[in-house]
Amino acid sequence: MSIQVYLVRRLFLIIPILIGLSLITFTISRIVPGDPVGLAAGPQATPEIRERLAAELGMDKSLPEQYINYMAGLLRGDFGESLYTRRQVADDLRTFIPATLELTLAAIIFASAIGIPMGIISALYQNKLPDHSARILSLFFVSFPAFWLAMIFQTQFGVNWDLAPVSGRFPRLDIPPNQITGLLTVDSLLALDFASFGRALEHLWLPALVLSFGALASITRITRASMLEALNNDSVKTERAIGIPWRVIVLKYVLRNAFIATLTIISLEFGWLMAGAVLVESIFDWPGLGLYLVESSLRLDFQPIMGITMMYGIIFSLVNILTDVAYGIIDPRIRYG
Amino acid sequence: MAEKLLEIRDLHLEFKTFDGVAKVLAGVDLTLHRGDVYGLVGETGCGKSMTALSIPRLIPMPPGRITQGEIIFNGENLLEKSEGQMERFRAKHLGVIFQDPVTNLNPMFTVREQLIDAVIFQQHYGTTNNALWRAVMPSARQRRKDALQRAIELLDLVGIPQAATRIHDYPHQFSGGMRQRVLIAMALAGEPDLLIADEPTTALDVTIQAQILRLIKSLVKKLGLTVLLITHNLGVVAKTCEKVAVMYSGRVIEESPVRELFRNPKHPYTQGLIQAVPRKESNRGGLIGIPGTIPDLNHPPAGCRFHPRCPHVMAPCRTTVPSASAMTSAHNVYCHLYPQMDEVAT
Amino acid sequence: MADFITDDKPVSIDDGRSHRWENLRRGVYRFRSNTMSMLGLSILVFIFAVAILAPYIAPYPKDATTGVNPVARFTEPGAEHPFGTDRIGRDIFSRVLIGTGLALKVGTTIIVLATSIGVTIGAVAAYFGGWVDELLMRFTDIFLTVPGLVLAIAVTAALGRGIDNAMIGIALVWWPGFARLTRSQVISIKEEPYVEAIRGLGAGNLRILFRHILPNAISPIIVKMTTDFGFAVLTAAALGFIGVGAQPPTPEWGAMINEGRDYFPDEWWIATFPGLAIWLMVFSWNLLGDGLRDVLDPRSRR
Repeated sequence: MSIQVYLVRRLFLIIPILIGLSLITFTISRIVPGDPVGLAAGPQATPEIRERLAAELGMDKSLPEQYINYMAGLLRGDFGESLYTRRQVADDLRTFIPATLELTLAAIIFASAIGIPMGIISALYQNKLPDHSARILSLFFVSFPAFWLAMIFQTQFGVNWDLAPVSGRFPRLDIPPNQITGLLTVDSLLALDFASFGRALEHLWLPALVLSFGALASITRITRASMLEALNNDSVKTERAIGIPWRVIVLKYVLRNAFIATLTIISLEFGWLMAGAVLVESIFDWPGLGLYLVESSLRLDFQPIMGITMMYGIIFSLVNILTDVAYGIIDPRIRYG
Repeated sequence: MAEKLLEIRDLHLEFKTFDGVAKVLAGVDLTLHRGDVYGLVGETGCGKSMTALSIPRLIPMPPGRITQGEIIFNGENLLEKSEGQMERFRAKHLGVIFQDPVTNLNPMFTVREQLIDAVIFQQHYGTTNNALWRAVMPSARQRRKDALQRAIELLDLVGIPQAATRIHDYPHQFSGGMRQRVLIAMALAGEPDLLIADEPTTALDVTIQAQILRLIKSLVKKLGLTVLLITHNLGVVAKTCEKVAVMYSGRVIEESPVRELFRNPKHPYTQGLIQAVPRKESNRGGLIGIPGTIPDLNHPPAGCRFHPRCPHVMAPCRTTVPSASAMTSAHNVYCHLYPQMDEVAT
Repeated sequence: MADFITDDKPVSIDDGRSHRWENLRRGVYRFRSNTMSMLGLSILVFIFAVAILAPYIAPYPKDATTGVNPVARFTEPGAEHPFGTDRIGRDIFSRVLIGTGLALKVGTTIIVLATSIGVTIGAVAAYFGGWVDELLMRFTDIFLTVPGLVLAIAVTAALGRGIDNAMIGIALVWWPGFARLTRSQVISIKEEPYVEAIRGLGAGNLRILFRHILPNAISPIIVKMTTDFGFAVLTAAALGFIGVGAQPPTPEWGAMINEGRDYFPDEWWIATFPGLAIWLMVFSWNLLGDGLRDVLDPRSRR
């Protein structure tokens, strides 16, 4: 099967999952709170106001009808409207998604850049000092509450040492680069605007670093385990026996074999870090999905909550598909089918 | 007589396990001359593979430990070399092939990639300082082109049809027998002096087995190889080798030219082993085995390790390790049934 | 010697009980020689002791709930208040100590709930296979497509703010991991010959599943429960921190950090000490889980 056909099939397969997810979020937003209209209208609302609001929101209809209307909206890309800000949820999502993606991607890059070498070294010095130190270090860092560490780092690096701005994605008064991907670092590079790139990076590195700690331990551990497995492979014995230098074996052959498992954990951790971003965003005032989620949750503004949850589901499903495609590129034995 | 290529003297190897120390090799002696096709036979767990892996020093240490003995190759003691020197030594002088051709090739790289690396690192080892640099840098492109030519020749040599196109395939696109041929090609890339073949045909079908053995024999003639063939299969030895050593529980117990061994086995264990080979004419009687089981390596029997199973066991067998008794100039047996050399000497 | 040994035991079907005993013996040995996991265990013993003794050793036990002491507000850490006081003069040290028990309760509730749901769903799916498996696992997949914290925030917000709802919300998003793990374990075990043999003896499905299969699948589940315990506490603290979890004046560490956030870094102690407490809790469960993984999970044993 060609990769295009495979991709289309995989994309179709996420539809039932998203329908299931929409049922869950719909249940959370319409059934659990008991009285969503009351929540939206506020405690002082008169019955007339409530009725008008219910009609306006379509909440006077039966639940199945409401669900069908919601889904019909989703198909048109309409995520409904926030009861609090009266803005279109779809517009908000479009603004906030790139910020969260940029933060999470940067964090994954940090975590991989630290965790993969640590895992490799652990495996090569199995049960020796470097192995134990790497293990303790990664457990040490992963155990910090991200929101607390974010606060400490913000003060230390941002305020005391002045190494990074304390909040936001970009200087408020500067003009950001033309939006292409929405990722400020990428957009500024595409525009060859290195000053903007520097400013975007300056804002990005600290939150991304804090966020990356959450994925450090598992990336290190999985890299170590898969390296050990790959090192124990018969082919390594053969390569050594016929005189291929050890460093070539490790850096070329073993690394590629070990990378499949590491890739799996990286894509899983991507999901975890998107969740962790919720907390880091709220400390660094990073205008992303997480900050949006926290604000909406505190206001019990369910239209955005549903949209955000769906969006996380879509992003995560797409990341999984990308990972599977990457397997096929790395491992020649995998045939799409 | 041809010059001595490899001499293993009194090799002792131990493995640390959870249950104690396993004495895997307890004084192995073995001599190979240039041009020999030498068989090393014995049951599973007798230490034949450990002996073979000791030569390229591929035994993981720890948990393994060589406590005694030496391995002399071309006059140099391999056990005294550093790991770096060993790497170079393996590249220049040794070729090794293993049992399972499926797992011994890296599944993620094309045969071309693996074979080219074998060629480059075996042929040019030491010509510049940084081998990795050479392998990855564009300046090495010409070298890789040359290596590709050589790699295709090698595949031709080991009998892979349409080598020039097949070389671009991945290992999983080859059959088991063809993969073993590829592995042989990789082992031979640097024209080694010694080819160690550790159960090279065990994982293959009988017909493919025969083809691989024929290939090895033809390569011996073409390239002037010396071969150490490890197997549990006496039939393979009979078909392929000129000389053979029989191992039992960490020691060589008999060595001899192949014909001589089959015609006139001296050690009770060898006799049992040869009788145990199923033959057409003795089909009716069913299989004959040697009673008893191989000894526990953590607590091996004192004296001759075969004595608890031996039909001719005598008093000295229980206490003293037998030394060599020469039957003919090339046929030695380590058994108390025969006059001990050192006793004769004194 | 051999003549004295008589084998008059009935023929038994080996479902690995004797191996389990032997493995346990080796496991305990390995665990005890692992400094890190012993350290984790020691810290946890200490934490449990603190949780039990907190009402007696905390200098201002009332501050955990209703206490107010405006005179002593924003006191720096010192002899009187080792961790300082917050904006209404409550003793942070007492609140952290008393919060320990709450954190343990939160972790236990979440993990027990999540494990019960997850193990049941995973085991049933794997054991019965077919459409049951398909249905249950697709349901599980839906939960796995959204990061747990995100769904937990949504669920807790819907149920209403508070620590009890936070525990329910987190448990509701936490079980799929256990379901996946249990399923893969049970699938590999149910194919083993001894299961077939027990079925041949006429044992019922539930008996086979719970008496003979799950005990052999339990090791990785225990490892996951251990490491997840710390992260469950962390997640509850996160909900407390963003304001949908525990509400003031509950001495929940995450909520305390939220309260201290506005005074950071000038009155740094208000947020710092609860954070360190969370770290210590999560770290010790991680150490213990990591050690247990070496001991119990054969795939990672090297």
